[in-house]
Amino acid sequence: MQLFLEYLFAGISNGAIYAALALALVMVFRGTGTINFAQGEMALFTTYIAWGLTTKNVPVVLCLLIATAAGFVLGAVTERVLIRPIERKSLLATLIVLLGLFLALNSLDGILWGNQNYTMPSLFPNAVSSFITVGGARLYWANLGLWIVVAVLVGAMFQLFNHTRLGLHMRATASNRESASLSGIPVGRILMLGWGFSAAIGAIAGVLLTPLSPDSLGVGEMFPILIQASAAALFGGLDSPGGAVIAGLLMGVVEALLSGYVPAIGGQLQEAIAFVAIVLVLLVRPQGLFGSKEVERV
Amino acid sequence: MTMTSDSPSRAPLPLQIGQGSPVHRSLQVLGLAVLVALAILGSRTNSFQVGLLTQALIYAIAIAGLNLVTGYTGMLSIGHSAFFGIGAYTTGILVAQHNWNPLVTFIVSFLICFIFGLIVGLPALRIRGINLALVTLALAVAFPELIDRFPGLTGGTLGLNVNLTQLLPPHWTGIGIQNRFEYYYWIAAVVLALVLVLCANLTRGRSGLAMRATRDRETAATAVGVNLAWIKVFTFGISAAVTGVAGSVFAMYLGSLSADSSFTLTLSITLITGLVIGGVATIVGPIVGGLAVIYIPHWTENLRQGQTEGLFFGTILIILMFVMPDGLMGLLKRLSRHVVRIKPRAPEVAMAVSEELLAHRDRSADPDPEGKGDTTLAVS
Amino acid sequence: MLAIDGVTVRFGGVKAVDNFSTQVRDGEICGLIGPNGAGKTTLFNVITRILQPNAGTITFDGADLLSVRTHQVVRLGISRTFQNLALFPTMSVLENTIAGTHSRSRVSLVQSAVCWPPALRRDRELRDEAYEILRRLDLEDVAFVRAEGLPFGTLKRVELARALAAKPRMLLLDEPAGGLTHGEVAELGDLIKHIREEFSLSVLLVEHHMGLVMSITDHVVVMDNGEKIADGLPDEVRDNPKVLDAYLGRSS
Repeated sequence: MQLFLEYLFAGISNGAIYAALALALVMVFRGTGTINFAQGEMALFTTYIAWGLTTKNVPVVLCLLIATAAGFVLGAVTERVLIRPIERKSLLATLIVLLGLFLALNSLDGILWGNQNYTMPSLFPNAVSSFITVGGARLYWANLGLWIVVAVLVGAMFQLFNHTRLGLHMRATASNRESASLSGIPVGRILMLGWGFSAAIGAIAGVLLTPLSPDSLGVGEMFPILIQASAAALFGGLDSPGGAVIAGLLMGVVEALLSGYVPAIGGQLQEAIAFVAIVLVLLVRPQGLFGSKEVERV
Repeated sequence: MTMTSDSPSRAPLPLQIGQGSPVHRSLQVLGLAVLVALAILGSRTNSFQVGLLTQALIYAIAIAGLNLVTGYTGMLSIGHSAFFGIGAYTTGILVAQHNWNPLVTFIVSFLICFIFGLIVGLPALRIRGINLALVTLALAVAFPELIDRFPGLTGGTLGLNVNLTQLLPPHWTGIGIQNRFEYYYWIAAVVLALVLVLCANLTRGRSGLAMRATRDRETAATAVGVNLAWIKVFTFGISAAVTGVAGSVFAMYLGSLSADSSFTLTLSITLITGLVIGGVATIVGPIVGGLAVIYIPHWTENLRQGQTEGLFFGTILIILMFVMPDGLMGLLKRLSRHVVRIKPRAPEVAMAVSEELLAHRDRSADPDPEGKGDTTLAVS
Repeated sequence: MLAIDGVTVRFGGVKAVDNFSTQVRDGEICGLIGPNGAGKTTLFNVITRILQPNAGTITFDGADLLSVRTHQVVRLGISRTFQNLALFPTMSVLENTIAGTHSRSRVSLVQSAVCWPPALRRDRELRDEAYEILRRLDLEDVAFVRAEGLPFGTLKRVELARALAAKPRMLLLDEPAGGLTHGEVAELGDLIKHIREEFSLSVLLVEHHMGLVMSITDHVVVMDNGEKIADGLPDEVRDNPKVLDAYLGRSS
């Protein structure tokens, strides 16, 4: 039981991060109809910014806020400068641009911050002894804090989607850009906001995730997580924010339990499992668990 | 190898050459001769240069494969590093563990990668561009993990080494051990030539149009009778097979394989970059692309290892998509059109009306029996 | 020739097409009209095999249309155009038209790959034929020009050329008059009639434009709310009170 709970806690933490990034991916997908390959690298870039600030003795909370703001700007500028002019051409061109951005950002991280790994200070008490005991299992404050922040974040996003004017505009833009535009919605600005929010979520996820284990802030940190998050987003349905969150959590938990109890497939095979999951989902139910079926327009 | 179907525009026309005319033919022969001469020239450089050129040729083969699926059929594959790797390991394993002749393994690589390509292409039947890109991305990421997972077969993280004696040039070539890179160079060159001929054949005529129709507009492609499923899966298979053979040549050239260093996502992105630099959906583009992705990092190497290359390629990829989406070959084609223009050949009326069409029409009077043939090119 | 019998399409609880039957005879131009939301497009999508009906049969020259897949429809001899143009933008006009011959060739990818001589010959034959069709539709001047960027009216003709290249026995036109000016609509009408003679085929025309339908068709079918409300000669249909009702709004 104790072991199970410890796996479960670890799974929920990973799952929360997957869920947050999957939500970010879904927001971009609903607006622009593409997967943002650079999502993870954007998050990593802003996490580096936060880390850089903590080394200057800036309080972690402030670093988080600054990183979030930086993420927002990065996302919005990417949409406006790189995506909007190209997306009209073709999906292929958009994907290639995003791939280029992925590569450029990742290398830029390496150039700016070097190849060594850093330890990111946590927003929450992070000592070896700062945990509470639940059913015999240790639940660290850093984990609990992460759950709460992600929960609040997801809640806020849903509030935004469903109960605000902006959210209404976002949903309208997602479902039909032309009619949204015709009914006076500033589609361009909405798309920029969507990308901005999405990159901001990524930044928060990065700042929360990296402190969970020491020396984990490095250039290769975010990409595997992006793969898992993409699998989760696909699994939940690329156009379903709720689906992405649920699938992200599920994925984290299943993965933690599997690698805990079935060592043969754990550890280094994680991405391979995500790959298999992606292919299976796409073959059996291309629209995902909660997504809506693509309607063919002739 | 000259493109035939370029649209004439209204610009004042310099040199006009009829398609299939003696002048056109001689130009084609001349172009071919220049390529062969360049290839010979390349083999005469020092062994370091020959090595670099060989790598460029190998990448050109891989890019030519990618071009079929991404350039002509419009499906982005980020997973070609895996096919390249499968080809390389096929050759590596067969030579190192079963003592096969390396050249024979090329055929096996081709077949195995063709099958893997079909399997990976299968999701393309049910899903569209974006999801396919994800599947291939995940494949690229998963491949090195899988290789490391089966150390008995692949050598795992330690890598797979082929005994050098198994990779030496045969006696009849007259190439000694110290010049063996020249041998690999010529193998790469010949394979590339074969692959380019294959691509040229595949991408013209009915099948080429079907691929491009699929890329341009799926609904319309279906309406004219293109079986999207078949075209997509087959193209994926053949594309993977070609890239797999590139991997085989690579294995031969390098002699030691390690998935974590050679066959990662970075390779896929490099191939895509090469394709975009050279020019998507062109036959010669992959050669240019292969040279570019090998020589650019070589030249910028002293700036700062590794990372600069990534930043450079990433930035170049983005910039090219904005300013030169059809790559260097596209640019060259556009520029050359100001100098020489190939005039497409219009069929003569008399032979144009095929019997089938005539039989179909039961009306006897043909309102326009005489050829306006020669006046009609109407480039005006 | 084309016989539609008892076709019903339901979306959830809504019957988009309700027990619809009609026939298009050999060589005739048949117009399918109806107000917005009458079910024309749904029916069109059923005939082109994009939608599967819940009930009913469709046969074309005795062949069961509902048993073939979307890309096989053209092989049976039915060729279509699109409401908002669906040409291949990166191809030249000639290549677009050659693409239209796809269903008539058996040249396989493998044959192309190895330059199989009969395959090359077949490709050349069809290319010549496509060129001949362009000549007949007065498109010769633009044969080698990329489709992208040509004027709308020209592209409509290119699409017709592509559809004709399949050598169909029936042409399905989805709102061909959409986006055309008055003068162009009249020209289009003439062109359709001319094509019917020249290529001896029948035409099924789904159209909003009453003027066009009334002037060129031999036979008009009117739909409203998924049901057929009239079927006959253009003049008969024009005076049918139900049709007037459907078009002018139900007053009672």
